[in-house]
Amino acid sequence: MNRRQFLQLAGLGTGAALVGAEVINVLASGDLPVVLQTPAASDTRDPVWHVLNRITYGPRPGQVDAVKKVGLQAYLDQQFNPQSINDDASEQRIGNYITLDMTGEELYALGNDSKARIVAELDSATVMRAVYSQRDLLEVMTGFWSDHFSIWHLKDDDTFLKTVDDRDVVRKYALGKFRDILGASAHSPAMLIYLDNAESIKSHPNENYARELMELHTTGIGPYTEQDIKEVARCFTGWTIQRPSDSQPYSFTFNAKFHDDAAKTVLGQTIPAGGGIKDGETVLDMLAAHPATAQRIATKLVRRFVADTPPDSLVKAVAQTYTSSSGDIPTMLRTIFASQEFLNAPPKYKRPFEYLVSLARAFSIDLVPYDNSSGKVKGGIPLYLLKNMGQLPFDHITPDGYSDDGSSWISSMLTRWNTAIAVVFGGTPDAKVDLNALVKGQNVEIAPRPILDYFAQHLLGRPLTQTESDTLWGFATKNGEPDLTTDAGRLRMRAAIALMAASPSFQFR
Amino acid sequence: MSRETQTLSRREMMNRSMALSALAAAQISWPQWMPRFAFANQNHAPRGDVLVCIFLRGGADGLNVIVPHGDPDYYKARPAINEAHPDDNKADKNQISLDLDGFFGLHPAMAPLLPFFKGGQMLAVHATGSPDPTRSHFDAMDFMERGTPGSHALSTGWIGRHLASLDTGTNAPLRAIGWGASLQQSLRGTISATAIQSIVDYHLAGRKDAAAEMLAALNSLYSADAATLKSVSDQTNAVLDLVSRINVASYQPSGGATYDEKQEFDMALMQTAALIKADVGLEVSAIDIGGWDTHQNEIADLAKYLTILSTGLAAFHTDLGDAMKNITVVVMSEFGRRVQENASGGTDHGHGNMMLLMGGHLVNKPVFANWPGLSDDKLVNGDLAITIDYRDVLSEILSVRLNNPSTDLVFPDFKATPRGILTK
Repeated sequence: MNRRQFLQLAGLGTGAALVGAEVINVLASGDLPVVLQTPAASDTRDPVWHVLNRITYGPRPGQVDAVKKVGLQAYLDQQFNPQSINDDASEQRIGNYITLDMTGEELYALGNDSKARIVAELDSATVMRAVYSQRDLLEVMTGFWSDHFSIWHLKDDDTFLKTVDDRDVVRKYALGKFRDILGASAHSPAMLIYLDNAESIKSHPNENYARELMELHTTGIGPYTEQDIKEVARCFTGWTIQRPSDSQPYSFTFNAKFHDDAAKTVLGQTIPAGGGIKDGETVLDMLAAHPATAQRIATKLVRRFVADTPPDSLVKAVAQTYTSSSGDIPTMLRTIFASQEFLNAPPKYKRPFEYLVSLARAFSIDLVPYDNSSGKVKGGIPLYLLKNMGQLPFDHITPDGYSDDGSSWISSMLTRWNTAIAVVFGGTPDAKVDLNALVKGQNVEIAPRPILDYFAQHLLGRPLTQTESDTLWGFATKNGEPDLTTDAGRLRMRAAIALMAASPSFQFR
Repeated sequence: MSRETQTLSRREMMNRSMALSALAAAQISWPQWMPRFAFANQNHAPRGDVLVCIFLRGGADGLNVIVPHGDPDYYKARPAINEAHPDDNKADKNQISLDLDGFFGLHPAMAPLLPFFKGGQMLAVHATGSPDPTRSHFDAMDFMERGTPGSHALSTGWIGRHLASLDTGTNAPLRAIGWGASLQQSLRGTISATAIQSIVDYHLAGRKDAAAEMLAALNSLYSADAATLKSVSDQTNAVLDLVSRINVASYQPSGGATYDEKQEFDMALMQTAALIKADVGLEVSAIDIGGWDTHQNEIADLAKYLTILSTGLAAFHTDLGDAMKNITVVVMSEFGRRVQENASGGTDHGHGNMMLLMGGHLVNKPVFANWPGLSDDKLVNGDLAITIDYRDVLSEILSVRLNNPSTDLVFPDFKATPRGILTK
């Protein structure tokens, strides 16, 4: 077929319309583009396993059964009330991460030499909590809002201040109201530095925060103009950080001297002169109440929990919930979790953080806490794996945060295969997986086929397909049925399980 | 040429992008990125130059990289954040620009590259860039890499479409490498582009003797997978096989070139050089350098990053020597920065910028520009205007040096203007 015929077939003219024909993609002979086709939901998928894969970072051994016992609704209700869940065990694991509880002033006082440690403790805490916290949903939502209000850890003094932001903004309001997390973020010293508002003054307003506040944090592109950005920037002049010599160094302050107090017009609304700090609060109120914000937040939540291409019907319902509940995050989540779209959601490609944590949880990994006090790093394996896969926490440079679209994460399978192997084989004392204890604890018969079948149900939520069974059982039994009392037999069994963890189905949740 | 006559208004851009989204949304049963049409006639041509595409992330300040020292408005707008005129013997000697052609000069930190500019092996294009008015990093990078200013609709990148529209007959599994943990947008759209952090570490973990058997099992599992991942897995296996057959670990640069082992940029260049010399069929290498978003502390930061860029490129050129005649290096950034300096010791997001080229077939002219001028009436919202679309530069590289005539497929809805920057 020549180009003219091809264009006729597509019913298009030439020139500008060619863009339409190019709408999607190129198929060159022998050179397939990378296409993320969403696999169909398996008929044999356990529904509770499916739900746990969405509202947690992945089921732990026995968790599906435990949730079935108390009932999914009761489990959900408890997850919506994280303070009622005792999390001492998880917090004890990171009990030595003293930087997590420090103020901005205390963190700065540790000095530049401590920057690496501060960054590593927060990164490691993020992984540890995702793996061990019983407040599953809170951790998932903390991750969600970390991406939404994304801050790059290595921008200037955010190396010190992101720790404060994670605790006092993201984690604190992750299951609260959107206006509250938005407000906390606007006041956050880490955000004020990251998007340069800390130095935005009346004579030279800095537009960076104003732009991203609208483009990324609230309405998205569309409802506002470049002029609105300038006006919003004026509203936030003077929102800055206390200096080292002030009473609460590195905390938020409103410096009236630098604030442009003349009247402004934002999205068609007049903000009268003399408003002071209220100018910024008014803008936040307007943006939080804007229908485009409801739509955008709803879209992102549905993308996170349901599908890369969020179903319109559900997005609409969640946007309505946003409006009727004044941006209450748990209410929006309940709308999602109760929907048919959620229950029947097709598998969603795991992002690297989700992949690693799902492995860690599924295999009850024992992670040694991070520690570099002796000069040698302990507990760094998870961070190393995440860096290799391209999703180290808080390492995304631009304010849009890590993409939630599976196709963005398709490149090479090698780093994922190596992550599965690293976790399951747990070659270092820092990250141990005791398969023996795991299967014993789940009352699985200690024999090769029952073990393989147990992991199929646990990792994949269903029995093995014929191909999976042929390949994995074929691998396991290459030299006859593996003798689990010998090293060689155990090694082969472990390798078969690692292959299952690296297989296509476990790449999706 | 003024920006208004050359480019679409913002409203037209938005309408076009909405039309694209509508077309995309119409096919709701398919995910947005699924391929729907084949390029009717894939071109067949022998391999041309290896393309090394370097992206300076953050909006590099082109006015301080290729300095218009002959334009008095430059110094008026930048009393503090400027590089001094080459003849200014009262200026700090670390801030004196190196003259290129009597009007433009180089930032002094680029001294290692001055010989290449003088020798016709490097040139700059100025007042260039993407015509979309966005000042958002995210949008600007995305548009530039997709090759469709104003639109996010295409999920492929310009390099991906170039590779997909050109059959060079090599069947190489690794036609393109994106250095880093995840593949740059510009490379998406072709299976033979892979993200690699380090060639030496690119192998299956665990015991070597177990690797082959494990890979075979993974192959069966992925071959049965009806979804995407089969093609990705096949590609991964092909690259693993290729990498296992070449020895990059003991690479020795030629010509006395030294790469800085502590710089990721240098290591990406070095591994590129090794792969080029090993002749494995590599056609494109994409490298990123971050840190160019100099809202503050620009004098120090720009010098630091230009030093990294310049010493790395100089080492690469020295290492490859004669082979540079079959290599084209292009350096770009998502936008330039405001002409007027800010109050924080830096500059804010702007528009027009510079691009750099290095290779063996450049026209002997250090700077190509239709210089619009920097007086207020010549600026676009306070920013340098664009008089040469960046796609003109890239299209010329693709057609003249990479043997791909289908630049209309690489850059849809764009008619490239030949600029005479490269020779056959």
